[in-house]
Amino acid sequence: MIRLPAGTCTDAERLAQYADGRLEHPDCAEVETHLERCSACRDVLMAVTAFAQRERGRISSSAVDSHRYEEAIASLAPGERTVLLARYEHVLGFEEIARTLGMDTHGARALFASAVMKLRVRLARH
Amino acid sequence: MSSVVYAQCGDEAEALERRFLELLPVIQGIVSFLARRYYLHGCDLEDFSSDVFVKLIEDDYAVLRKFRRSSSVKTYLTVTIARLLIDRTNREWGRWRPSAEARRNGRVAVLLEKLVVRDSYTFEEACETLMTNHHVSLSRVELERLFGRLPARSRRRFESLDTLTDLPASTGQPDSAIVCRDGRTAAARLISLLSEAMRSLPAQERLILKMRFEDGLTIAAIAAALRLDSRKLYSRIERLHARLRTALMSRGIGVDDVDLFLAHGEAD
Repeated sequence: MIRLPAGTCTDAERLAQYADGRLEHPDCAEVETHLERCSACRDVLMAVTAFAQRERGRISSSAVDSHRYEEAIASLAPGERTVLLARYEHVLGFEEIARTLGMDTHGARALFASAVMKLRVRLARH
Repeated sequence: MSSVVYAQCGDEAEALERRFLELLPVIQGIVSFLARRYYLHGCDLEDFSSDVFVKLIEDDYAVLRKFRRSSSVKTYLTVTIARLLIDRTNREWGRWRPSAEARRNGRVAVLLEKLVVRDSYTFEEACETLMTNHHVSLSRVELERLFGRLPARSRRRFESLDTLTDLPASTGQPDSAIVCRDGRTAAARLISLLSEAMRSLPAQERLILKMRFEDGLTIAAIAAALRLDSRKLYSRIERLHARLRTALMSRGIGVDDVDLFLAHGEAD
């Protein structure tokens, strides 16, 4: 756990981890303690949340909360999930994804297309 | 530095530049989303976009180089760019903060309040500015209705000594100063007891209360930001409210004062 010096804001990546729901206790509690005291970081968190909601809405064509979105992603096959996250979250090109996963670019594109289609169907069902 | 290290540095710089170009559409998407959220147009938007690109490119793409991939790159960039914009807004708007009611009513209400309260525009001038400079599509009647919902706030400004000498006392009756002082003492005690009661709560509960009562956010917005179930959050806030009420009453604060104070917190 990294302790924040008094008066400093949480670093950008740590706040991003918190917004993505990737921080565990006690790191999570430390960020929340900072957020409680820092209105500027709370404003940033609200802006990030609104942007994430809009991005999810782009996939499903309607507003989707983070729980439903994560459930739908978790229900994908592991290969599809990896390609989808690499493309959407890490904004990697298909060549790089294919190289990392040891497959050809065509295969990575096909996995991505099937993941997006399944995700849309699952989110629309809700 | 050996030629191998030079070559590695060159490779890294090229890789970062390639990555920056790959991320360019995402960066532009974030900038336009935030610009809409904070009503940036024309020159302001151009200035802000330039600031963002300078920030991302400066020091050999330091922002991208420092990224450890522990979060999504989109979220990381959104945090970085939103911080730039909020710093810029704070620099331009100063320490003025919109009321909770304005925040609850959305960004047009915040902008309207900013123009009237902070910048001392008349309501008419504010409407004109909103429609012309900020492309707000609400009708005048809708803006009037929105304005009616905002709390009456006055703006601090410098006045000449002559004006102040002729100004009637704002306290009214002579003994009202004592009443007012008693009221302020009671409020200060209430705030101190409330802070004490809140200190005993876990970090997340304190944050929830702050977002709800100080920032005036809706339960749905808090739930989305903290990744909580909004139905459960509603009852959790009710429980927290009741807990604070009990804590204040146990310290000798009258039930009416407690309810008035907590209700005021919720309203603004």
